[in-house]
Amino acid sequence: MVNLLNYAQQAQDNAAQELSTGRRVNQPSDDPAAEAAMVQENSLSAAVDQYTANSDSLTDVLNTGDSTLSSVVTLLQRAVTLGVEGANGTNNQTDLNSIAAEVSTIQSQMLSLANTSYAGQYLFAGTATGTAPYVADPTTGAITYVGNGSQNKVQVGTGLSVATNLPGSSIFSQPNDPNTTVFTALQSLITALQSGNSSGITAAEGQVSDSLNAVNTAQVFYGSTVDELTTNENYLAQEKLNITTYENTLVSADTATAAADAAQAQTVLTTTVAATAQIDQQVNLLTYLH
Amino acid sequence: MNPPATLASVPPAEPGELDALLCAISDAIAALVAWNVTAFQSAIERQNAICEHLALKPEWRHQPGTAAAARQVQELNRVYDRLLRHSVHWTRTIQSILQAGGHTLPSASVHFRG
Amino acid sequence: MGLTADLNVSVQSLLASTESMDVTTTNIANQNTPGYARRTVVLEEAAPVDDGASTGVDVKTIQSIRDNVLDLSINAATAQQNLSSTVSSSLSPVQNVFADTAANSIGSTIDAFFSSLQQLSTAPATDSLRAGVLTAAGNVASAFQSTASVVTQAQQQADQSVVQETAQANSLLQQIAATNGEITTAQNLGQSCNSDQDQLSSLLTQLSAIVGYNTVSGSDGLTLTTSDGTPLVVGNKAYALTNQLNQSGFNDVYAGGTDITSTIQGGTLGGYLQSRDQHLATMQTQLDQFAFQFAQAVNTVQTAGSDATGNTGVALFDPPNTTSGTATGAASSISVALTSGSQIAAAASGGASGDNSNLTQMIALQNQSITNGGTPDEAFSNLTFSIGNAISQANTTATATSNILTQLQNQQSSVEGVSLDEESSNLMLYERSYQGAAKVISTIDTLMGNVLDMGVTDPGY
Repeated sequence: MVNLLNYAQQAQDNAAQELSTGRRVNQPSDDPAAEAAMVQENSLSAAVDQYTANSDSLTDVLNTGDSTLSSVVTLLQRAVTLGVEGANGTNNQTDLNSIAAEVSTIQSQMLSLANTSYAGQYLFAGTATGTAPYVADPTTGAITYVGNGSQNKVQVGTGLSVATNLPGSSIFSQPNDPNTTVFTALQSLITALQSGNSSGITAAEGQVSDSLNAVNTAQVFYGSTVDELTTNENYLAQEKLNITTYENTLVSADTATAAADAAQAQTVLTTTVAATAQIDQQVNLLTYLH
Repeated sequence: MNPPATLASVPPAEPGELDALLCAISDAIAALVAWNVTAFQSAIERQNAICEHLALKPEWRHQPGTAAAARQVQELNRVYDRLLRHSVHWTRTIQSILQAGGHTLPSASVHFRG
Repeated sequence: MGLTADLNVSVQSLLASTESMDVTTTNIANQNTPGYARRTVVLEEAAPVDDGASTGVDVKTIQSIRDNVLDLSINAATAQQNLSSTVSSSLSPVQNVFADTAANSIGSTIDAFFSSLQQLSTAPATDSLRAGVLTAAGNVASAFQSTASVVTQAQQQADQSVVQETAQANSLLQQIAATNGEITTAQNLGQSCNSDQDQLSSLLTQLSAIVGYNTVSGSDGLTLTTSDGTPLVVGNKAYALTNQLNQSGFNDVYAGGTDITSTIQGGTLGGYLQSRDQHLATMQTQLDQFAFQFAQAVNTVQTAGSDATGNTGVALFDPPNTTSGTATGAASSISVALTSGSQIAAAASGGASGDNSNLTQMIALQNQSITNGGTPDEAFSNLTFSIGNAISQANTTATATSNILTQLQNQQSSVEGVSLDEESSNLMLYERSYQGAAKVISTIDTLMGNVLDMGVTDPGY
């Protein structure tokens, strides 16, 4: 009878633990399969949390790139306007020099913008983010790209990765002509204005306009990637909810299940003797039963 | 239990009456010894029945050989009496021991059998 | 002849009844003595005297009622129950480090390690994030070490218990042998040996709780052997149970000069051995393989890339080196070999400083079958299941055999044991009969006395 009492006590202890922890499964032996599934769900959950964190980090840097390029676009639009103005034939050379000076200022600002950094790393350098991607030759003033054309990818979902950057060579250069950059276009405009060559001014203004188009096209990457990340975060939130719900079904205390467990315990108490009795075949029963 | 062999030569007053009485007393003794209360009670009933029968027919005393048989019965009866007194005393002693040990007498006891 | 014979019968009966009463008293007094079996008085006809008259009843040797088949079943169930409950309690400390709520388990630290790699992949040049990866790697190493340590401790505890239980069993074997000898001697002399039988029964049950064994009865009395026939007790001789250290540094069990360790499959000793040599030893091997393979996979990716200063990556974990070393002991010695986050090879070999493509490779390990158990998560999950399942099954068996034992013991009580209720009930019944009996005695006396007083002449034949 003592054994039965122990068993009943154990069953009561389990019920008490369920109530206090809210969990049916408090250790692997309570339900090994549930625990095995639980640790895998925990991994999934941690991964989803990290995808969300990755998305947040990327959104910040992408927004920075996006707003930087918005400033670039504004500057280029001004440069185009200046170019049109300079080509209208009503300006004297003094006026043209004045316009050229403003374009020159734009070019300086453009260099700064192209060398924008975020958290100490250059945004438009490809993956060579430790070095400013656009370098001005101290003698000639020519601005060349010293970054690379690589993109990093970051995982933001199961099997879902996004590119995190656009190399400067894909933004500030003409798509079909890498040697023609925003900077060369602006420089052409400055030179044409300073020389008062009207057709040259028009041609240069056209190059600047083409560069503007290239930047506009490239900028889409940033906005659309941020949109993709935002949409994805909704999905991640849903996935997190699904995981949490499933984890509850695995390990949470549930009165219906607890009642079924208690009933099963009763059944165990009626196990028959023959199931585990082990009687050695060699025993000569007759010698034992007097 | 078999009756003592000596009775075979004694013609009974009533055929088998005193013989049966001897038998019943012997059986009562054996039942006490074997702790068989059912057999004990049955033996007492038989004794009772025979006595009632004998009391109704006093002429049995006039049968030849009755005195000898009666003496046998009386002697066995006295042994039985001594045994019974011993048993009564012992029974009451054990009951006292049990009660002193806190064991409640089994009027409504419940215990588990496998 | 005549009255003398009857008196003889009566006196014998009186003696028999006294002895019966003594037996009942003894039964009641011994109700709680382990191994005590109710004795009954077996009555049989005494040998007749010369004249052929019955001399009444005599008391044969008091026999114990003993259902030995029941005893064997109880001992088998006892051995099984103790084995299972011992395995469960021995393994219990180990499962705590595998619970999903366990802080800094291998599983959760590996998850955090991959999270740190993911975070770094968003900004590979960030020093704080690189340092974070090293910290996370250190936590993984700590988790492996502490888990291996818990397993080792459990093994050592079980080993100590093996030594204690061996000594205990050894003592019981000697007592069994001695009792066996006394029984055989008494039987050969035709003497009663009931209390020795009780003692033997009790010792055998105690032994079952510690070690499983087989029994054979023969001309020397009882023979006990291991499951594969190695003798433990033969007649009045017990084989000495001793311990010797094996190659793993744990204690094996010897009987006489024979290693019987693998034959012990029941009782607490069987439980500690099973826990130590099967469950925990397997767990230790699997942990070592897990740590070794995980470290090796990470190191292989690390050495395929370039670190923050453009140098080829070196092994992140130590041990093992990527191409050498064995798995044994890996879990207890794994540590982080790098000293600075700048050594993490985030970039592909020859890649630019901001390149994260080697990190991508390292992250991908999380979903690759890099260990025998599959992905790192699957490997940990398998270990969680196996330890939880071993304990769960042991618990189930312990409970089931415990209940069976209860049923068997109740059967034993009804067969062998003394029921106070039954004894007391008998006494009450007799009490009620006495008055009636006494009345009849008196009646008979009067009836017979009337005959004798009347002076009927006895013909004398």
